[in-house]
Amino acid sequence: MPEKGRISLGQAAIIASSFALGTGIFVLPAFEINWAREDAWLIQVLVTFPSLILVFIVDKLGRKFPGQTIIQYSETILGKYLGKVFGFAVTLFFFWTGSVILYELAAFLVSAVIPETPMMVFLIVSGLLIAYTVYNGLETIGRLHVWFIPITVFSLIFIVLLACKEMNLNYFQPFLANGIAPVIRGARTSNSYHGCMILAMAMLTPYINKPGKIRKSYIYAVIVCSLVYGINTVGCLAVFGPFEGGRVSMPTIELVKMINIADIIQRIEVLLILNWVGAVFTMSTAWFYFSVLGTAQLFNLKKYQFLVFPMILGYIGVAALNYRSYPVFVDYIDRIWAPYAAVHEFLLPAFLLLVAIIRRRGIKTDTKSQGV
Amino acid sequence: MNKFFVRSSLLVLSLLLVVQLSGCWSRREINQLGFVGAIAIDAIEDSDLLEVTVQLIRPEALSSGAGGGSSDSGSKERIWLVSAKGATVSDAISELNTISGDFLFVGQLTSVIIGEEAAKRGVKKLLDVFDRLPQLRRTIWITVTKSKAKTILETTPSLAGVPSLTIEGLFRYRGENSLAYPSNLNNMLIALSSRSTSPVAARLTVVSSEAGEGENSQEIKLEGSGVFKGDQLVGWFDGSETRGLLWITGKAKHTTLTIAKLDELEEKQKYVSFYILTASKKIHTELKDQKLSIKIKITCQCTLIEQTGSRDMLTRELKLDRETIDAFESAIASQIKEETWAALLKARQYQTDVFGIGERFYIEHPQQFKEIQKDWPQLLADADFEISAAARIRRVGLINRSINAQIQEIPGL
Amino acid sequence: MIKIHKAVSRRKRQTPNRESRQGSDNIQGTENNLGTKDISARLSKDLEKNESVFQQALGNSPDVIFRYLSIGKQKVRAVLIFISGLADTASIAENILKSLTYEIRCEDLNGAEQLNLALIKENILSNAEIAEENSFEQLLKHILLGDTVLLIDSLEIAIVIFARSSQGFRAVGEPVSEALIRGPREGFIEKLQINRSMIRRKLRSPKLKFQELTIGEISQTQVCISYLDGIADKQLVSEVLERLSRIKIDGILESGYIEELIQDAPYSPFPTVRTTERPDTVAACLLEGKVAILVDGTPYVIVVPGTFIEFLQVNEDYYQSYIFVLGIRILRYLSFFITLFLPSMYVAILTFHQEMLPSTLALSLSATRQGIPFPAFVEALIMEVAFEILREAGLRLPRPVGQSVSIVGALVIGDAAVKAGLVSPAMVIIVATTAIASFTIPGFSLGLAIRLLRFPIMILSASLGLYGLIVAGFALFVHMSTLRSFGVPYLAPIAPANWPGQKDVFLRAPWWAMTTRPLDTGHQDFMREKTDLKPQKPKE
Repeated sequence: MPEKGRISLGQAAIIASSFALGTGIFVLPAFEINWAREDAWLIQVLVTFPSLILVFIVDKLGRKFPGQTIIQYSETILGKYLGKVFGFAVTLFFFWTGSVILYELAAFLVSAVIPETPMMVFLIVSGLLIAYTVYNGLETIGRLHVWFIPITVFSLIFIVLLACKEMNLNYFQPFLANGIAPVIRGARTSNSYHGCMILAMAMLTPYINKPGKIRKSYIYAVIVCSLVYGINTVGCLAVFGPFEGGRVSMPTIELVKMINIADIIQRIEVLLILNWVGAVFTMSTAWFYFSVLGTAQLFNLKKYQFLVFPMILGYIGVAALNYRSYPVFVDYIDRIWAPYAAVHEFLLPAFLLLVAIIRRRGIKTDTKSQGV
Repeated sequence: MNKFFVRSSLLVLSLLLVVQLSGCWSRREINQLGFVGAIAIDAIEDSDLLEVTVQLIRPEALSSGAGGGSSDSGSKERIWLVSAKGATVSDAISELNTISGDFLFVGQLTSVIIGEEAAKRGVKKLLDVFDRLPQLRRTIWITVTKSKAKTILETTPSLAGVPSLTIEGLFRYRGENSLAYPSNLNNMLIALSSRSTSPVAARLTVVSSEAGEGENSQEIKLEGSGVFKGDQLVGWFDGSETRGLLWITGKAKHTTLTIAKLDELEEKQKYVSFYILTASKKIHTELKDQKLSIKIKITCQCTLIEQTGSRDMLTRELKLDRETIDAFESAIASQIKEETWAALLKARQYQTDVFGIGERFYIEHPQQFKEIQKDWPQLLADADFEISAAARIRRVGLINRSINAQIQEIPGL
Repeated sequence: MIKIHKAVSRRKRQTPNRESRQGSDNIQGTENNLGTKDISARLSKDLEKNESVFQQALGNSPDVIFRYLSIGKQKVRAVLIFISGLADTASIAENILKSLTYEIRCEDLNGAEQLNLALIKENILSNAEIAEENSFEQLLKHILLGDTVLLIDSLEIAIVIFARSSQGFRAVGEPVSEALIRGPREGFIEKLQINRSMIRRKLRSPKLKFQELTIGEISQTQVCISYLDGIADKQLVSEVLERLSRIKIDGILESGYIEELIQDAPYSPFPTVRTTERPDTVAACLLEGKVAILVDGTPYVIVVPGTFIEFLQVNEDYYQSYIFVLGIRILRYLSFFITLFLPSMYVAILTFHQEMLPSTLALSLSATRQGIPFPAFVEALIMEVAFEILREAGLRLPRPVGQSVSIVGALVIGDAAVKAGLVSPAMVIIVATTAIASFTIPGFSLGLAIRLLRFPIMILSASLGLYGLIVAGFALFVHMSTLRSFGVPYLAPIAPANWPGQKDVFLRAPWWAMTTRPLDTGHQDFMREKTDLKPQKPKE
């Protein structure tokens, strides 16, 4: 096993939810409101269900193959070659999406915080920081998440509460005026963001030190993630309405900028943005960690540490070269990445479980005795 | 081998970083910034170009401590006005950087003033830049003026001495009379991007007031609003019409209403003033046979703050005088109705929906709205309105009975 | 063939290693140290021979006293060896010389021809502590520690008499570096024995164990570890002993030597062992299952494992009302962040994020900076460095002079610099606030780390704005969460978070609720008190 560290159940749940939280706070409301308009709040309710079903599948797989990550048991299930292909696909997905997140982070800093500095600086500095964290192993990543993610979640809720003064509840009406189709179209990106959690869970389960009620805490992770995104979307929609909310690139930041409580709490956006930058850092450490760990497991390496710095170079390279500008990125996320991710997050684990059952691989588990 | 990997990639990264960092000192010292307080945008006749006037604040003029004795150096020097021409706002501002030694910093911008001519040509193209810049907030005030926008900035208001600070203050206490629309960038943009609503922008005018020794000083006045159709300015609301608009949009708050005539109750013209605590509205729309009927119901809670008539809410026997209360409340209601009607009629004249009634109609009848969206302004202009208003007096101040009311002995006691 | 060749080469490679190991043995070995070959030997029956060994070893040093005497009627020749100043001369005269030379004659030995060892030990010497020893090496050690050695002719065993001088040490006084309002006013002193007794006086339990080592080939410093048996983790104790016994060094002059030689993260600026001057702090730590290392010659006692949170806690926190402690602790954490980040934040906001400032503040800050020749970063750097110089000067100078230095530095230079327009008044406020905040951090070694770290953070935020600041903060957090001190995560119980530990982080639970020891060190005997101790109304 390349990773010797162990994390607690709570840490695993937080890492899983942070795998989807983070950048989504900034960009998702715009995607959602753009498509679903008044019904954008409905999206987070919808996307919870597929993720919840997937939690059951991943949990089942984790029990069938204890001590193995998805990359390892796909080999057990599908045989050496096909399994390797599968593992490679998952690792590539981690790598690719991780670089997307790194780009998001830098793009966001460049467009909202320090416009004059070249993006490459942010990519490198953030990349180095992420590499340093990953170099120190899973335990450090777990400790990081336990602090940064709750702070982010609470600050977000706090912001939405502060913005209550500017809200107009009429923006939620009418209900489903254009039918469910736009909502489902808008849910596509959100769904893929949510699904990321599933793969994180599939990677994390073997490293939990006291496997207890794993499924329960993963379900909590999914629900917390939906709640946070839901609150965020509702806040943005209520303040900016169905058109403005979908027009600006990062409605959450505009929301923060609107806040002025008695001239005391005002102009706080940079502080909050930086808090969220911390959250995105945290998120990217998890993504990068999984891609490094996945690579190590793919090639049956004993250590992964030496892969960290060469791979971060690749990360930075992909992030720097792949997206010419933010619009290119928006187009990519909404039209290409979302279906690409959905295949990995939803079809892959389901397929694995199906094959495992058909080929009778893994330990037989009795779900009832474990208790949810 | 492993160490080689790690070390070489670290080396590459740090080399890259050094190369990038050496060219990216994007910092700007705060004392090298010219703080743009307000921007005035005027159209130039017979040309597509814009004239952009920027009002900068001299920091040393405001602080009394550091400079020492600069307070009497005259208000003229507190600000610096510069104008430039350009095809777009940012074009003009970059033009201004050729004559300004300080970097023009818009992060502290509080208001944008648009001249009548520029507003008539459309504001969408003017507001785009304010929407994009990351340093700006959506809380900056967008105002229009009947004259050239530049004239507003050329005044030196007596109190603050700086037009941008004055405008900020005017908006901060705008609620005290509700005679101007709170047209910040966010409200403007939401209206501009909506299905049918047209934006409204607060109106600034220059008035002269008498200063100490017979001198006239120029002051900025915030009252009324410019009414748009689409993104083009089509007309003006005066103060009370604006308040009518605010009643319908539910944004009226903390305003003082003075009712002049209570003829049927009073022997002479007497005045009563009320302070509105909260106001809310309900709009109900219906479309039948291509005829729109709109019901607007406004309710408000208010305080009686001043009266000059002899009637009061309590009689000499400390008995509730229902008649008077009803008279007061219906007087407020009719005043509200009057103002609302004035705004509606003016808007009908301009064929514009500044009230958000279209959005309301969409909420109530989304399918119908899609069919009639094109004809909406016309439909609204021909609509039947039914306005009702109700007021409740909740507080009367610290007296039971007014000094104007009768206070003689009660006969027979 | 190849295999053999490999084996040969391996042996070749190993040879220098072995040699060097022998070399290091030599340093420890007695021969080099004492300069004679006989030293590893035992005593012989010949007094002269024995004495000459000591003469040779101690090199005719004037402070080494050889007092010749003859015992009893038989006039058995004997010699007392001790070092003047280390040994208690009065006690030697009273208890040894008098007994051996005078009283023994008065006593009727009844013709006991043989003056045997047991007689001397049991009947004649009136010292409280004596021991027998027959190796030169050990005897020399005793002499150097201040004990007195009695060599008697024709005996192969010498008597070690523990009569060390109690002179030359300062009295127990209030610790200078850890002042407090409420709490015991005693601090450790330079003498190990006294320090040990101070701890013993706090914890009078057979569970309190001391274990002594001698470290330092030349200094022969006594080092003593202390722990509570049954509470401290046995693994921790053996780990401490292991690390201490690994130390091969010429001399230990202060516990700082030990600290650097045993800490887990040698490259980290953060201290991973705690030092204190207060016996009550040590006692409290021992009760939490930690291990203390006492070093002779210094009042600073090392406590391991040391976690980050401890450096921000004062023992007074546990003596004052817990309600106020909550506020005080928050204040302390706040000033930790102020010290670390305030100058950087000021620089970052002033040069990158001017839109963050409210209009009037931005204008007045801009006004105060008009005509300042330096960029905000350079200004901050100059002021911070100047402040550090002032602090260092004030520390090193004698107290009366130190005060005048700080007055000249702070008032005269600061004021003049502002008046001359070299620095802005706002910057003076920032630097002063940072300085004052830095004084609230109780752990001096942590304070040093923060003072140092301020500068790289300032550079980062001057080049990347608040992003640089968050990068620095993040990196610090990651760095700190990877540290461990004797197996305990450095940021425990913050990261990894554990619930029982939260009782003593941001707030200090009242004593009736502080039912458990810290999880990481006290898990062997987790409960520290009964659970129903909350004061209640008297039953009627």
